[in-house]
Amino acid sequence: MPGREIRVAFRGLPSEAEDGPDERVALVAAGTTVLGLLEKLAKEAGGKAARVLDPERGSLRPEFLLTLNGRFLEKRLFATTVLQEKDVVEVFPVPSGG
Amino acid sequence: MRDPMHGYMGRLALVNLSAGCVREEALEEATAKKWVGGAGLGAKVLLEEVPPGVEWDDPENRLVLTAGPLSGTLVFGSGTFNVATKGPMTNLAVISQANGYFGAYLRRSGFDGLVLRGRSEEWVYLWIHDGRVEIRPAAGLLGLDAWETEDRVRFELGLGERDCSVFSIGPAGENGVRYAAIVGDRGHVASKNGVGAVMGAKRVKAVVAGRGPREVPVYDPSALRSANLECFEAAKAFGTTWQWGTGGGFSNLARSGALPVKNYTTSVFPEHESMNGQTLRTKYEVRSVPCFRCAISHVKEVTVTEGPYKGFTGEEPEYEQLAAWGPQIGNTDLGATVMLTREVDRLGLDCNEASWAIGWAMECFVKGVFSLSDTEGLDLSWGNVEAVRELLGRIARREGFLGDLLAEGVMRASRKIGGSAADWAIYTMKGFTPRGHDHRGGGRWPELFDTCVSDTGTIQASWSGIHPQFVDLPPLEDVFDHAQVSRVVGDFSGFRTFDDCLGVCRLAAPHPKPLLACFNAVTGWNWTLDDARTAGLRVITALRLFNLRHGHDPENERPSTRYGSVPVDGPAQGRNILEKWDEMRADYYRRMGFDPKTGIPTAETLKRLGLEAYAPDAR
Repeated sequence: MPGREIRVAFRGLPSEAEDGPDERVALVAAGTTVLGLLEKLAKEAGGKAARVLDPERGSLRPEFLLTLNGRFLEKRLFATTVLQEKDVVEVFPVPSGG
Repeated sequence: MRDPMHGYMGRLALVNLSAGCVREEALEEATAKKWVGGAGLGAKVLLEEVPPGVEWDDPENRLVLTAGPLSGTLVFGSGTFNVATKGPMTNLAVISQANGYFGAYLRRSGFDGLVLRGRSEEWVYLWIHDGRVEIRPAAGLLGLDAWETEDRVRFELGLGERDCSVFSIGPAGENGVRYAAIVGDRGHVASKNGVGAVMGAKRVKAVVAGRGPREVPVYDPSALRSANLECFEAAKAFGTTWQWGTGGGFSNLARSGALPVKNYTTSVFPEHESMNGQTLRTKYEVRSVPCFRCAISHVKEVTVTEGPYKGFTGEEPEYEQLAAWGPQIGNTDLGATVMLTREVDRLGLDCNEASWAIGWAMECFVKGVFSLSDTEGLDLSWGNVEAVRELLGRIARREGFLGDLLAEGVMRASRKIGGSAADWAIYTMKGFTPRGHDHRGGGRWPELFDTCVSDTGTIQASWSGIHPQFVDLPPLEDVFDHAQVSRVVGDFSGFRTFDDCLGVCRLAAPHPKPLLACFNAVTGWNWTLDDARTAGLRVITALRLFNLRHGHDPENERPSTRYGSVPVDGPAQGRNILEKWDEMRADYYRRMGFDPKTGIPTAETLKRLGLEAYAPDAR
């Protein structure tokens, strides 16, 4: 079964986080969930992914949010949401300002 | 001989404007330990001196301007002061802070605070210097905007820009606009719940504090230097503010559906990257204009370098102004936000309420509720920034039908127009003005809830998000989980209010722990985080007692129809905070020590906070 190509973007990190590309393409197996994607990224743990992922939990740090194709995805749904080809995952800090 | 009280000048100035006299009162250590300063002292005065039946514009209302124990010390950004009063938006209490220099200069002139009572027969301004307060005639200042007032006062006193701090009301405060602000030091604003209208009702045009020679007594200067550096490191690590100012979070707010776009008619703003702090500081000419002893120096002046407002120089729009005069009014020209920011500040208006009112009027115009005749020729199509500029002036002068209507604030204006337009206005049911976000979006539910249940006249637990993890409480894991939202707002309440007692800019000291270390170094009191939270809860509960006494109905702790509506598009589409509102509110009450049904503080809570003496007011 062919894998899935997922676009992952890390947005709006502090200025000192200039340690890797803002966007990357992740190749995952068919049936991979959002949690599976995050676990994969956490293991690789390079660049910006290392700043937003908690390697012990294999998930997002609490101060970060995730959207899938422009819609919020709750953390409790990470384990059951299966990624589709060309899905776009964006991760960014709980926004400050104001 | 008694040891000196560290962290305090030990004196309050009581200004009786009706009698035209000033007397001093000692600030006792027991009072300082109970109420700390800043917002706490303001709450104490309101609770003890403003009885029910006194309306916001009554001479017997108080306007309390207080510094905090850190004001004027070496702590970065310690020029902040607090304003407390009964405000006209809600007819309830408000505490509102402004940064700049005034808090530091007030202390260096010998006072921890000013309490203004009565109403002057003629317009006056207060000149605070060398341990005394002079009441001086201000007839020559009438009609001047906030910038002109600063210039004129400095000229009259023969002082340079940093020799004194001038906070004044513009035309909005003179004309009783319900959301008039107190503006000073070129763009710093105490803006919430019409504090400028109260100052205008007292016929006080400005308060001016001299730089002064007096130093704040500090218990442990070495420990203070060290704690201040910890604050500095925390501030640098806090989001993107250090590099990009408060506008640095603009695009993340857009990505989370938390920008206010065209009065919440949509949650999508694709142009966000052309209007964020990063673009502003990259494209425009930027000059730092820091607050008192601030190394964070997030306050800038900018010159627009392109577009219709090329060459215009003004204060850099903070996030709130970017949101107000960008997406909320359908404007995508960054330069226009600089122009409108200057306009709002010099007129002396709260930018949040002004933008909710004008955004609502624009929606009414676009949908045919207001005709060109109603607007007296103003084309209020989305994005017409020159029409907005003109309308701001009309509001500040209460000029014409629309200017006078919108000067009442959007809650009253929308109720007066009625029909479906009444459902389009963004406010809380008790009249508080929300900050400049779409709080229905991701990560901002705590602020929506906080704005509705708060007793401070503005946000109480939240600020730039909510940060329970800073004090080792469980974080908000799921931003759309109703139970988690009420938990973090309830459990984190108190910490930020304690901060508001200290007299330091939040942006210079966003983390409660090093800030508490500064407090302990200054006072020598060795307080714990629990002590700090208890002090903050005491202030909140005192304000709640005041509000209940002045007619507050906890049933009004809800958002307006539009404010609490479900987003129709964007990342948070379909999310509904109101689904479990009553459960959230009851949970919050329990966590705060209030009766879960009535919202009235329990006897046990009052005893724990040392507020038993005020218990009858709660019943």
